[in-house]
Amino acid sequence: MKSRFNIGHVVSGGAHTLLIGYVLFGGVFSSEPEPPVVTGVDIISTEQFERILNADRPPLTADDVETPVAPEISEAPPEVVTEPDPVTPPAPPKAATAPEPEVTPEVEPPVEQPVELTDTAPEITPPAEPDVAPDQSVRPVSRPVTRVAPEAVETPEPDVQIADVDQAPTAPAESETESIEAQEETAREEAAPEIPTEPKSGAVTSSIRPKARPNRPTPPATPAENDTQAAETQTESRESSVNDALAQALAETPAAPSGPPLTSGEKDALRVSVQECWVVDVGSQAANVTVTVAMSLDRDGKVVGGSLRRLSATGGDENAANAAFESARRAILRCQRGGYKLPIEKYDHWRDVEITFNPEKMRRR
Amino acid sequence: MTKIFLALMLVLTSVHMAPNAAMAQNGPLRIEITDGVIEPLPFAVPDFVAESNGAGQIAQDIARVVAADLSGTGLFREIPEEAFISTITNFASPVQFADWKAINAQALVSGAVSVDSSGNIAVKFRVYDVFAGQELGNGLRFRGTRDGWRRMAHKVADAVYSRITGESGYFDSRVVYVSETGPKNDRKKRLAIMDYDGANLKFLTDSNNIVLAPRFSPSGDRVLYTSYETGFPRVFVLDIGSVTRRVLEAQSGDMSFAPRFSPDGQSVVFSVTDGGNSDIYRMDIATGTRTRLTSAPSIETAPSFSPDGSKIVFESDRSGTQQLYVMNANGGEASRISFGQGRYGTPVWSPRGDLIAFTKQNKGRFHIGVMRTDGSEERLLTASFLDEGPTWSPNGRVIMFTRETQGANGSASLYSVDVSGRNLKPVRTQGGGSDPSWSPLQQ
Repeated sequence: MKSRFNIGHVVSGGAHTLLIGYVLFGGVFSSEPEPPVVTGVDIISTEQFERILNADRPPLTADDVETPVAPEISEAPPEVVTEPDPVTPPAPPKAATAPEPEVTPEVEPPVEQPVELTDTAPEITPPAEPDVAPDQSVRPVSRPVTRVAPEAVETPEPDVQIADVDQAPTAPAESETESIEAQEETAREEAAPEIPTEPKSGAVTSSIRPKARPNRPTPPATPAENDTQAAETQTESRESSVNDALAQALAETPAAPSGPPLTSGEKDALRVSVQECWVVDVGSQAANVTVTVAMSLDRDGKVVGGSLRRLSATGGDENAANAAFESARRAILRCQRGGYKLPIEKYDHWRDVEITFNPEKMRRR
Repeated sequence: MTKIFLALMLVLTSVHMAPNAAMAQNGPLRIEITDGVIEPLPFAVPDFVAESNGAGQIAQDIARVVAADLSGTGLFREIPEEAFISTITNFASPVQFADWKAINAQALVSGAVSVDSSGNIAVKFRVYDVFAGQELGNGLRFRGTRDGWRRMAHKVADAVYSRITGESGYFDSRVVYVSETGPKNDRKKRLAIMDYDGANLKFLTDSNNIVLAPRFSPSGDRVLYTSYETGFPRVFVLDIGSVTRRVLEAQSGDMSFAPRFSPDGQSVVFSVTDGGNSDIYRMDIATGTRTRLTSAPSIETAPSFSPDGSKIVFESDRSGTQQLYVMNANGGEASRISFGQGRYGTPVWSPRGDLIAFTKQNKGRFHIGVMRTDGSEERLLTASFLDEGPTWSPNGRVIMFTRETQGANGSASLYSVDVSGRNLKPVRTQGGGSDPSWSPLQQ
């Protein structure tokens, strides 16, 4: 360890010695200095320096300051428009003379009171059903079999007993004296080789839309149960209550709209579509009426015929409410065109629509 | 036990999910619309069908008047005949709604005219809501003389207007006004009467005397007006049918102005100027009994009844400036209803009873405006060098007034404006006109 230390010192000392020697004797500091740069300087007086500074400025002399020109004042006074007094002054009285009417007494042409037409408005008779073959035959109905077997088994006769094998009925022969135990006809239970599901072909692509589920009736108020009786029957009714709850929960689930509801943007799109056609007569009595209309839409977004109806109207008499409703109806029907653009996957959420038309903001325009 | 647990989980799950479902959407999709468009409703009036010989021209004329009435409201826009895809050649034929939908006709009026052997005509019509594909109300038929065809056309238009807007119309009505001819410094004035659209003009007085402020009676058969023919301003009542008139009261020394009938037509309110003080009086027409309704030292004038006859609105300068006040029909304490800047005058109660029209002068401009009967919701409908003297259409929807132009050659003419402030337009008159008074609907 000590020898290594010494070797390090020796090497370091030698290297430094060589470096110092090179600096001292290698001619590093022997080069000639750069020649100095010499600049010529002129000595000027203070007046000359001032003149140079102000060379590019306009001279500040009183004579050169631009004096603003005062506008010429017309001696004529401004013309004053005198508005006439709106109140017509009484005219000087004139001598009373009986005026000679220049017209003869008019005789009004009689116009009788209107009579309501007794007939009804003509309607277009819808064309008869075309007497042509339907494009598609009636799809065969799958048999409601519940049993699956390797081979299909036809539906047995109704009075045939179900057994594991087919057995023909026996008929007693008149000549035979020996009594043969009567054998009833048996047949295998009806079966199909596979569970019938959706038809693979020939399926209809659309069907009649089921009617909207009616609003659930409000359950009648049940009187408070007697605590004692309830305690006694609690055990007995527990299972039935559980079954009821199960049935109710399972029954309600499919009827409620499934999937995500309409987004604000989707609702706004419908709102904008309708309001573009909502013509408001802001000076009318109907403009005081807020009317709510209800309708059902088909899957194409079109109003189902006959479903558009008035739910409520506030703010005016019956005539005004009718006019407000008809204006709303025109808006809905006119702007539906090929159907309102709504997401088909959310059809359950927009099948039934209620729109409130509130013209209050329009009245302030 | 497992079944019970499963049931509890289901119930808890349904209870937990129920509020979320309700928040998301409970029942039908509900939206509210607060923005609409203000634009005329497109309609089509094909020429009426002539159902007898000689009815062709009058059938066309009636259809044109009906269309002009509706278009003139500013609420409807007629679709020109050139745009029709189909037309109606038989009143009893079904309407091809698709053809009218295609040209965006929202309302369709079909009609037919027949002339009988005595020259009388019968007009029948139907109104359809094209997009609903159904008739609006039932068809109607009018009968009358051939000379009265314009009135029959106006009646058809009134019915159409009523069925679409839910309000009564105003087309079968007339206007009495002061016809003005000649330069400003030598202007001739006389009473004139015409249909609301300027047709069938007739003069009721000559131009020898100055006449002012004619006012229709509620039944439309008489006119009150002020005339200087006796040397002083006096109120006259004129029977339109016979064109006979009489002084309403012959009390010397008074100057009576601004007469107006009560809604029942039995009495008249007017102002009487006596010694520089004007007050409002009510007079029973049958008995001539006069009742003083105001007794302030200020100027009270321009009274107008509310439609139910229980109130009177008038102008007064009792507060130092000309403002509007409302009092009971038998007088008593009056309450001020106008509080805006400027001066208010010539108030007229709307036939609907909901608004009061007035003239307002502010900052050198004149306006026709309306306000609620309690003075709220004041709205100015016009602005010009000089607008004054509003009168309401029979249905309270339109206001007619006088507009005078500036300068030595300025003239007065009649204008009308919708109560919404839209559809400002001149009324067709022969020469100049001022001080209009709109009649009720004719019977």
